[in-house]
Amino acid sequence: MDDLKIYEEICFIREFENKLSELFKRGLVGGTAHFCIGQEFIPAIISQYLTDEDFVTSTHRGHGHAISKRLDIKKFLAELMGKSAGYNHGMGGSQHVSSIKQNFIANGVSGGMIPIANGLAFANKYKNSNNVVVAFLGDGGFNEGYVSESLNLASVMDLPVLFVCENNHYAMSTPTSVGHSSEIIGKVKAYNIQCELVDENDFRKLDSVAKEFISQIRKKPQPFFIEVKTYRHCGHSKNDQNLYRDKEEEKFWMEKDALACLEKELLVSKKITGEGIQKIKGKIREKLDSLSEEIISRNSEREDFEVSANIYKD
Amino acid sequence: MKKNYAQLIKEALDESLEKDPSVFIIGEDIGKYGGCFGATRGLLEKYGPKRIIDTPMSEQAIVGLGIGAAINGLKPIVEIMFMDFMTLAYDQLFNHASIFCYLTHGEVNVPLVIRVAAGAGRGYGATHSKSIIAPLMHIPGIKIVAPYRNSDVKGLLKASIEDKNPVIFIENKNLYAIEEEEKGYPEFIPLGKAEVIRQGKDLLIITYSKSVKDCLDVAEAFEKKGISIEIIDLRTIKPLDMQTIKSSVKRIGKVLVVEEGYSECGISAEIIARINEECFYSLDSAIRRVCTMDVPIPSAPDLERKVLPTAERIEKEAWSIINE
Ligand SMILES: Cc1ncc(C[n+]2csc(CCOP(=O)(O)OP(=O)(O)O)c2C)c(N)n1
Ligand SMILES: [Mg+2]
Repeated sequence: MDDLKIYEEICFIREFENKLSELFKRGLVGGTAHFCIGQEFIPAIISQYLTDEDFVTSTHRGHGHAISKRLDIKKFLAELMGKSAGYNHGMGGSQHVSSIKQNFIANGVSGGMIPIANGLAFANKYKNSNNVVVAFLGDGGFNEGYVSESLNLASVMDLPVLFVCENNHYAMSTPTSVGHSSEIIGKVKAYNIQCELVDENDFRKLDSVAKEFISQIRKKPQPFFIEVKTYRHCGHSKNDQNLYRDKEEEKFWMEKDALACLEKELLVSKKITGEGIQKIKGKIREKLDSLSEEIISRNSEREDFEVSANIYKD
Repeated sequence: MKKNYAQLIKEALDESLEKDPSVFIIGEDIGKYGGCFGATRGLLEKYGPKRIIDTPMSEQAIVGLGIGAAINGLKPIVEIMFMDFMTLAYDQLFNHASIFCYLTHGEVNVPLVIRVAAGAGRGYGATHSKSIIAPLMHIPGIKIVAPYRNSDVKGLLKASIEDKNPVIFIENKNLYAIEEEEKGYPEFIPLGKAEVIRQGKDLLIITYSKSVKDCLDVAEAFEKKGISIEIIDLRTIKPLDMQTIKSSVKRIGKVLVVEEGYSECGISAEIIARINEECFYSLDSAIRRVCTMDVPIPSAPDLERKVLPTAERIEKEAWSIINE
């Protein structure tokens, strides 16, 4: 992986989430949002090996997935701010940003896109294309029945899809120790799907596993599964205080923060200076500030927006 | 040549597969077995396992696969063995298939057909007999088609396959074996159009699918007594063809709605509400309905008959409207 590029990408996603949090506080974003702070490295690393033609299906915690899939930041932010300049005219919001041009679809039903990811992959195989589908899900979503059905189906049908389970140890307040009868990876193995566990935010391992699995899918249609054990620094959604989490556990994982660890590596190896870091972050903040102010300043009055249009395609 | 309803379905599938390489069929036991009711028999031999795909029992995963394949450029036809099992795939319909077109302003299309066998009358019992169409009618963005006549089934199935939206195509089990001389059947019938299949002036019956047959029988019996009944076969249930309904209501003024779905919050309830909203002042009496009673469907034939919208029950309600 290109360390510096990945570092910048992770920084960008984190700053994006921070900006969004600020916009919430200012009353400029409504609804809810699930920040991915602490988990940004996962889509940042995986997307290195994807092309525009590859599909990504995302979850409620999908801002990082969308940014890494190269969605236009202004259109993406405008969507979250409920503006007509957004990808979905503000109709989707944080959990349902979708763009077929970017081959990106998100949905707020946990794990609900997994059966559909199979179908996207099936179509690629049917058309003899070597495009890949990456399907993100959480440890909580993994427990849904349709995910089990879909893993079995992907396996028996040899579907060219990479499932990426972001195991942040909690489904809202429910810890995996309570919600899972056994390790996720063991269940996946039982479906005869090649899988790999990436523990403790090990971004180096994720990089090599993702690279290998995606290149294998392109060579021969078959499913793969990566479980990444990670942690969210923030609450489940914007108002959650994490009262159910152990402080020691939080401390352990904060020290494993991929952004901080990579930053340290870059400093030690002198690939970057402290000043360089400030410059990168400053530039990102500037960009996000100017984009958001631009969106805010635009007249957001919607004229003649037809809310009953496009229920059907003619 | 004489053909039955199931053969006409197979012909529509066959011709669609032949014409468009992006069409494929997926479902449980549809290949070698030919589907529970034989509608796909022989297609595996003709088109091979790439396009005629047997799956494990996983209704949600199969419907989801259909949705994804549809989004990614194919035209999937999913077969769900019994309508009772559609419930297992509701999330994929309510929260996925039906929302993408709207939320993306028409950018994402889901040209998916789900063929499903509905209907009681065969003693299959509570979990293999239901016609639970109403919950699906509740979903914005879905189309629902339920042909009765042999002359409609092929043309409507072909139109469903060509449609760019998710279409639930409902086949009543009791219709599969109905055999008729095929002559001049339309090759393609646009969705969303009901048809007045019997003209009359004393009572209008609005119905669909297998219940059309029972209503026709009742109308014959009334004819002998000098009472003429008009019958609308909805053919497409969603979107509802209110135009055709209204024009008959305005002319006749007395209405009975008959369906094999449950009564509470049923399709008939929706039709009655819409008539009240749109042409209340054309009515001469209260609208009535005959539906399946709101109970799980019993298996024993005598008990099953008691809960279904049989000709006897239709006749009774028809009389009370006419005498009102
Ligand atoms: C099917 C379904 N049930 C419940 C919810 C409400 N909900 C939203 S996110 C969430 C927890 C999801 O946990 P996980 O999949 O581990 O993702 P994470 O939030 O940890 O990223 C729940 C219960 C939902 N969105 N979908
Ligand atoms: Mg989780």
